[in-house]
Amino acid sequence: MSNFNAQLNEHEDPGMFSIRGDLDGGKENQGYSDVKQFIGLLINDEEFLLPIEVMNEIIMVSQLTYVPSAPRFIEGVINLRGKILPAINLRKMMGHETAAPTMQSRIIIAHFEEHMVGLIVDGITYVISLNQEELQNQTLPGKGRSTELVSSISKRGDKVNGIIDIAKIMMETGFDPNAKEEISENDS
Amino acid sequence: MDALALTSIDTLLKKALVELRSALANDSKGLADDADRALKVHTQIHETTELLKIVSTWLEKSHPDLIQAPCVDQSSDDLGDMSDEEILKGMEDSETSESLGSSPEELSDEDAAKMLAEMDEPAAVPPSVFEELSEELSDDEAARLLAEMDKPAVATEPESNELSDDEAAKLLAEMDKPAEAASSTSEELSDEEAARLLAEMDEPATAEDDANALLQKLGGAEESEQASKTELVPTTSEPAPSPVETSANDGKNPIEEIPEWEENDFQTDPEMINDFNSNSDEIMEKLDEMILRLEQEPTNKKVIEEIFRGAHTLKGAAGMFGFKALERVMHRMETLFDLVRKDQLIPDSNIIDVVFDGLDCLRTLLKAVKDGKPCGIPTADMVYALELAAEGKSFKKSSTPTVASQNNAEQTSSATATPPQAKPGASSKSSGDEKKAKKKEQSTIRVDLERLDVLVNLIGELVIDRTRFASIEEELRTNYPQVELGGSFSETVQLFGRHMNEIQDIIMKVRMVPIGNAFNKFTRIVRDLSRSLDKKIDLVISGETAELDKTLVEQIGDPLIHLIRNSCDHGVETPEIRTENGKSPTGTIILSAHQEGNHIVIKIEDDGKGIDPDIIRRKAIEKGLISEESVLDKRDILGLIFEPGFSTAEQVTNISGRGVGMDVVKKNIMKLKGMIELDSELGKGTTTTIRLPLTLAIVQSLLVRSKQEVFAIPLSSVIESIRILPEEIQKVGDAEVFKLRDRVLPLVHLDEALDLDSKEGTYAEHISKKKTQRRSRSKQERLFVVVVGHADRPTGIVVDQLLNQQEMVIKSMGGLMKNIPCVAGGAVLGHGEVVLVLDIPELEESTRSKRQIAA
Repeated sequence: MSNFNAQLNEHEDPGMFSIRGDLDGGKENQGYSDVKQFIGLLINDEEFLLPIEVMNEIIMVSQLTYVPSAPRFIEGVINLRGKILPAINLRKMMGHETAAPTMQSRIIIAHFEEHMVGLIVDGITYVISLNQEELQNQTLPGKGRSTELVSSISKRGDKVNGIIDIAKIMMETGFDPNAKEEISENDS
Repeated sequence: MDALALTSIDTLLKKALVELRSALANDSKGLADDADRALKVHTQIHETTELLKIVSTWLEKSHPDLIQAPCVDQSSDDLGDMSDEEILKGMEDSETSESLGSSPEELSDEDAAKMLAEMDEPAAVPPSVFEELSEELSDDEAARLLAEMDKPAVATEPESNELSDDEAAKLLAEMDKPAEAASSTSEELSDEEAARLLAEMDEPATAEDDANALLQKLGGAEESEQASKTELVPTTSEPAPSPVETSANDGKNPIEEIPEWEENDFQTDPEMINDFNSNSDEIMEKLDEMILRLEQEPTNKKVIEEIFRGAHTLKGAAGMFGFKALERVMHRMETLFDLVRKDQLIPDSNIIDVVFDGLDCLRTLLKAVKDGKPCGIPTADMVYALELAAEGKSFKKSSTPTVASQNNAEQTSSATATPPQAKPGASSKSSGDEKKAKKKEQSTIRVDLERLDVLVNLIGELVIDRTRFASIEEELRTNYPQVELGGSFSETVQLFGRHMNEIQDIIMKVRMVPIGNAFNKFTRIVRDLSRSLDKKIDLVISGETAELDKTLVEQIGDPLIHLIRNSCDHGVETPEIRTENGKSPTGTIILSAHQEGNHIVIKIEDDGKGIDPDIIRRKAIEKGLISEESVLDKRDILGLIFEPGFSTAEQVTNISGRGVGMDVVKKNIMKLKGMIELDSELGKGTTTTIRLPLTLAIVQSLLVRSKQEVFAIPLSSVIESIRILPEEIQKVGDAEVFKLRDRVLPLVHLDEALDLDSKEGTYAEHISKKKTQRRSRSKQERLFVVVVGHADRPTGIVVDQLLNQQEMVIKSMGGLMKNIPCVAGGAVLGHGEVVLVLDIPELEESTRSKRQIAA
């Protein structure tokens, strides 16, 4: 963990986002087919992983419009090039206190089916490639809400990280996938 | 040798052949006028008949014992029959004329053979006569005659290729033989040597046999021709009608069902199918409109031409795509239109009814195309009905094969009762309007709505960019006045801004279409309803040029249908009652639209019996919607009609009266951010007024600030905004009110209604704090009140500040955010910030319910 922090501190220009880490991991392991890539993110100083295929992009935290009477973990809405997306604070969803945004704070634009959301995280670490053997489907018996979003675990080396399931995030928001018709109605 | 007879034979034959050839040439060009051609074929047949008679008399005179005579008689009889048949029918069809054209052709070929036989006979008995004959005929005459006969025979061949399938094959086979016979004889004749002729004529038996066989064959062909003609009563001037269809159907028996679709490469091409669908939609709409006009003015050539063109295009397209059932029904309809076009059929109400049924049937078939799978409805009955209609016979339908028109079934029965000259419903537009519309149509192209939306979004982005440019320019100008480029930059930015405004204006207009598109179908609906209800109703449409967003035009249709049906069913009385009440027996429904500021107002007025508020009130009490003692003014009572489950109709009809309608209408109108109102005077009529915003995409909004948060209020719901002093607010119990002029205005504090204090300590708060956007808030002397809602029941929304007014694109905030109370959506402002657009009706509702809970 201290390793990350050191790296983050080195990273001085907050306006730029660069990806570090074992981008060449896939090559080492040969055969791309059984290799999955993940993005590491920080929530309350703990590293979680998010499958890279659900992620569209990572943006800086800039403007955010407060939406009264929205669920408490929805901090508001953001404007992504003309599209209005809800921003979910993963900190809050995991039961932590709201912290003021820092220079490292980012919003991960992710998608679940055709629905796009912004995920507010405390920071981004790096992209990591994992073999199938390094993953383990596992729900955790944790008491807090922080474990509810985790559906599997990476066990690479001696490091263990929870992998966040976007479907669980959506479920947590009370999103009903059957209500699609109304959504399209709204869109039109 | 009777020289006179011979010369007359010669001249008649020549004349007939020349005409035949020119007729065939015309035919192949496809330019032949039908009547002309019919006439020509007639004369040809007559001439050939005459010729044959002369030949036979001559033969009988000179050689009464010869067997040719009966043959000739038979063929002349056949020809006579044929021409009689022609005269009886009095009509001509390319198909029949083609085949007829070829049958005299064959006959003349046969004549040649017979002539050869003829020449032979005299040769056998008086050699001198033969010498004479061979001198006269053998050389150029005979050769030319045969060559002439041969040529047209060949000429018919490529044409007959157009007659596809078995019939063509049959004809060809038939034609081949005489052609062969003729050519073989001509070969032998073309030597121009009498000696050869003599040798040839030595064996008359072969020629005789040939002639006999040919005659028999032709007789058979004629029989089949006549048989097929009886089926072919509704004929067309189609250049290449498919004979399979017509010959496949037996006129007496009900038509067989055919497979709806035939597999075809075009069907799998989504783009082609899309084109087909949009084209067919357009044509169907036009057909509807035009057929209604045809009923009004049955002699208007332009209208029938238009109908015919449309029907033909659709038929062709359907055929190309392999939609066989569609093609067949359309073909029959086209046939009918063709008869009308040629004044052979007068389009009375019964025929128009059949045509409309046919259109409904087509619509169902087209819908199946859209859905991508055959719907399997039977079309044979429809085809049969159309055929009978074309014959001018009345018909009895076993069932209406369409889903869409349950009214039409009744209509047929009432149709007989209504005299054809009574044309209920449907007012036609002035020709000036039509011309204008036509002009406009020609200069349009079809654009995918999705692309248009992308364009609108991109332009929205550009607008945001422009504001950024403007702020850079401002900074440059104020902070670095010494930079030389600054001046030209400012200029460019200004120009850019101006162009952007123009682009924005135009792109907003692109989505607008005239509301007339939604109105046009009502003429048909009112016509059908008035017939099925036995009422006389005129529909007057005005203001159809008013423009509205395309999605709105599409969605306003259903509510309007409902309202128009209500007016027809409940509003306008029967002619008898109307006359009793001193009204004109024909009721009038006025459907009008006009623009009022940012709204379009659609009115449906009828001069019917009106609505009795007392009945509504009684019913409402019965249904427990209101209590016995509640005091309501007339408007409130009429408003009860929009409550779910409310119906005053004593009996439920298939048109209206189930009480599910008006609340749905209201819901739909509300969904379009519109308002609906009903006004009625007992005995005088009812007026329904719908107010709709011009567009859903762009909304003029008022930006307000409350507790540092900016919100947008759609200007459509804003009545006015006022400034008041805090001490002017009065309290009635818990509620705050303000006396505005002579009304008491209930007040809602926006920050309280939305619970804006909950923002404290959130992420958004942290961000705005960090940006130090928070302005020092001076103690507010005055409060701003935005008066919103319905003009009769306004609500005041108390805000901290009024910012400005601006056009914005309301966007959905995604599936997660759709249930946020009081928020209709979001909009991106020029500087990229998102503002929430308030849902005013919901806000009013929520404060009201809050108050109720509190009370």
